Amino acid sequence: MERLQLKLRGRLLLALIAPLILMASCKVMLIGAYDQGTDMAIQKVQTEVSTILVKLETCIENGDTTNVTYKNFTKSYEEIKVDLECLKVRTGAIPKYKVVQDQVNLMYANILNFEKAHKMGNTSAKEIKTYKSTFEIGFGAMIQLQNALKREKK
Amino acid sequence: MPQLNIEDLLKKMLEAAKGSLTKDWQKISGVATSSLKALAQNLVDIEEMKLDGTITQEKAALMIDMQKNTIKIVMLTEKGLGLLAVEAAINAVIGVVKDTVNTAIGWTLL
Repeated sequence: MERLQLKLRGRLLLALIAPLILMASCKVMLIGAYDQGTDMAIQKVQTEVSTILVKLETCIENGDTTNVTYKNFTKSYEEIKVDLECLKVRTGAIPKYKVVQDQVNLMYANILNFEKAHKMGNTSAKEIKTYKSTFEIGFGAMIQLQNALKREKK
Repeated sequence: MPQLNIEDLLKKMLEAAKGSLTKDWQKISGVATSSLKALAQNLVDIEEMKLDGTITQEKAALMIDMQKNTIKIVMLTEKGLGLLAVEAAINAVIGVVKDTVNTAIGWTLL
């Protein structure tokens, strides 16, 4: 009888401690780990977009109606789209990175819209100001999340 | 005649976010709020440009779509920050459990 009680007590102790052991051995991650490649790629695309916007702004300020047209920027848009395609693949391959992948897809949609608008011509200074603001906010938000993913202790 | 007023628009955007997030509203960062304010201003500017003929209807639609996408990007960052906050809380609790069990037992079990 005593042996049975000891056996039951042992099993009860194990049943109580086992989940605690399991919990304590796992570090929970609800969102993917920081990936430097993704972070750098986002910043690269941001620089490329800023380059287009600064060039457009300068052309408009100087009244340069020739160099402001879309055909002078086709290579730039192509490079941005290649970088974003690579970013889509990269973020899709990292576990628990759906939030980041969704952001990349939305930014890609914005680049395509920007390109379509540029093709339409008649780009004004006020229009450029709006695009600048839009991209600054979008990239700013993405970079903010990337920095947070570093999980640096304060 | 411009229909959009930035203060009204921002108020509606923030109320919608607050209504949807309810108890999590407090956690929305200042950066998100200021981002929404800037995006509201962009929408007002787009309307002005359309009304004064600076941009076509088609271009305005593209620019508005860009604002919607950017709002989503900002909210996704807030979602990510929220997940990180919960994750830190869970791991803090696990850490306490670990310390408590080890202290109670008197040796390092966990």
